[in-house]
Amino acid sequence: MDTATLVNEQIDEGKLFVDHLRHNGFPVEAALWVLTSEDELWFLYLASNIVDDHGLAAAYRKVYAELARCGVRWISRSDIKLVGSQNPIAQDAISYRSDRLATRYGGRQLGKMVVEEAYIYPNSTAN
Amino acid sequence: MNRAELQQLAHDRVEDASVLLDNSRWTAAYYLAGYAVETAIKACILRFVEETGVIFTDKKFAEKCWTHRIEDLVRQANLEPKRRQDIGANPALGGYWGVVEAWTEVSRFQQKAEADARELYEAITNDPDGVFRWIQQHW
Repeated sequence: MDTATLVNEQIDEGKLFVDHLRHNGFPVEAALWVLTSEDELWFLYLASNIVDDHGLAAAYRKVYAELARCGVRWISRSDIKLVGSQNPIAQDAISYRSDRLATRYGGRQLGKMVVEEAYIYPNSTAN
Repeated sequence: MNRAELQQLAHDRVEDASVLLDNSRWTAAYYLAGYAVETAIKACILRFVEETGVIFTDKKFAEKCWTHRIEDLVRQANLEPKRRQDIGANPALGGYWGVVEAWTEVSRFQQKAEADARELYEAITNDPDGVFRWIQQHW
C-alpha cells in the first residue's frame, strides 16, 4: 500500500476506534490523521486528558489494550500517537475542526510539528 | 563499530541521561535517553546480521538500517514478532514502548519539559518492565 495515501478504511476505523475508546472510559478530546513530513507516514493522533492526568505510558497501556479488543484491521499499534489535551497539536486540531464534518487540513504545521496534510475528525466524533 | 561497542555506547548514553536529569537538563536528557535506545537496537541488528548473514540475501538490508526511527530499527533487527508477543503478555512493556516510540532524532531541535524527560527515562530504565531491559535480552 502507498503509505502516503490515507484510505477510507483507515478513516472509518479511526472513527470506530475513537468511539470504542470513549465508550470504554478513555476520553478523546481530539482525533486526527497526520501525514508527517519527517516520516512520510500517516499517524493517528489522539489527544486525551488521560495523558495529562496519568502519564503517557499509562495512556498507551490502555489504548493498546483497547486496540486489541476493538478488532480494527487497518490501524496498528505503531500508527497511534498519544498527546495530552493541552498539547499544541491537539489545540490546533481543536481550533481548525468543525462540529459535524471532517476537516482536510492543508497547512504546513500543527503545533510545532511540520505536516504534509491532516484529516481532523469533527467535534462530534472526538469528545 | 562492533556489537560490544554499540552495547557500551548504549549503556553510556543511559548514564548520561541520568546525569542530565539530575542536573535539570531536560531537553538533552530526553534526546540522549532516546539515542540510547536507538544505539541498543542497532546492537540487536548486528546480532541478527551475525546470526543470519542477512546482508548476503537482502542487498538493501544495510540501506534500510540508515534510519533513526525506532520502529523501523526493531523491524530490521527481526524483533517485531517477539516484541508484539511480549507486549501482548505484558501491557506495562507496551506502554513503555509507546513512550519510547514517540521519541525521534528531531527531538534534539525541540525543547522538552521535565515530565517528558523523566517519563522517557522511566520507560527505558524501569525494572522489570522497561524497554532497555527488554532490548538487552536480544542484543
